[in-house]
Amino acid sequence: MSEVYVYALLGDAPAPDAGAGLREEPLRLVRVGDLLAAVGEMSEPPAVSEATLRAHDAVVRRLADGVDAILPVRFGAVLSESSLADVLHARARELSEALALVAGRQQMTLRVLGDAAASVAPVADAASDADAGPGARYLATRRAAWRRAREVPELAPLRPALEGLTRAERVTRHDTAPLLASVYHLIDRGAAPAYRTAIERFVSTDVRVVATGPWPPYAFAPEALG
Amino acid sequence: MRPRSLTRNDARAIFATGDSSLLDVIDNLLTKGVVVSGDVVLGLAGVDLVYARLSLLLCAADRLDNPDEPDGK
Repeated sequence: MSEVYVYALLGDAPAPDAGAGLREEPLRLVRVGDLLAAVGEMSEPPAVSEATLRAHDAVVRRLADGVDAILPVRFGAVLSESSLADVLHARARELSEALALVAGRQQMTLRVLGDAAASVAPVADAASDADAGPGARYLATRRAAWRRAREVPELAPLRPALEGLTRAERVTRHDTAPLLASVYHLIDRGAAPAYRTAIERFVSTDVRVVATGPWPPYAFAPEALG
Repeated sequence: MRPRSLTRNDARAIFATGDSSLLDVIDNLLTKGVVVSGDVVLGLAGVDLVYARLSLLLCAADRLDNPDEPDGK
């Protein structure tokens, strides 16, 4: 069976058509249940370069413009059509929920920059509870680490301004100061100017935030084919 | 020529560009779970390094398979 390069999962067929892929190969749609995968014929992934990364992104953007809901697939996913069908089948519910979340929406990316030493938020130390057994202490430590990895206390002053704009959030904290965290927000299509205004009005002596976008909702797409 | 993975020197080269959107493209398109090999030479002139951008790209680089890291573990 032929190998395909997968660009995105879609809720509907794109208008006016799927167009061409990063090697100018014609794209076609593979239906698996409720999902459509936009694919091009390709036997092996293209070499990673600025040109191929940008070409992949351009294809995803064009598809995004033609549909209401898109889950971009990251660079380099080549697999047989039967494997693609198996993967999408096995994760159909999760992917359908993800598609519903991103419908009519797009992504903004926030980089939170600042001084690493000042950014370590105090965490309630449940692990030191003398009454807890070693298992409970271990779990409490794990839970605290999990929470810390998804929190951005530096953004607390910005939250009220963003409240009406953001529909979902993903956070990646970094240990490469001055970059403290990357925060991905899902916003309604067309809301980017309002989002940018909110970011520009944010003044903080502790951190600096830089917004880019709108992007297709890369950070909100499950790693379906990873 | 043997394919190689992204190194910190490549990272510096990428960050030397004035085009910050490339960093977002890398962040969006390359991530854990996608095995990337082959050339990641982006052919960008080395001029001013922007520190924040460098740290951002290093995050992206850390997610790549990196067997040839010269100062590797």
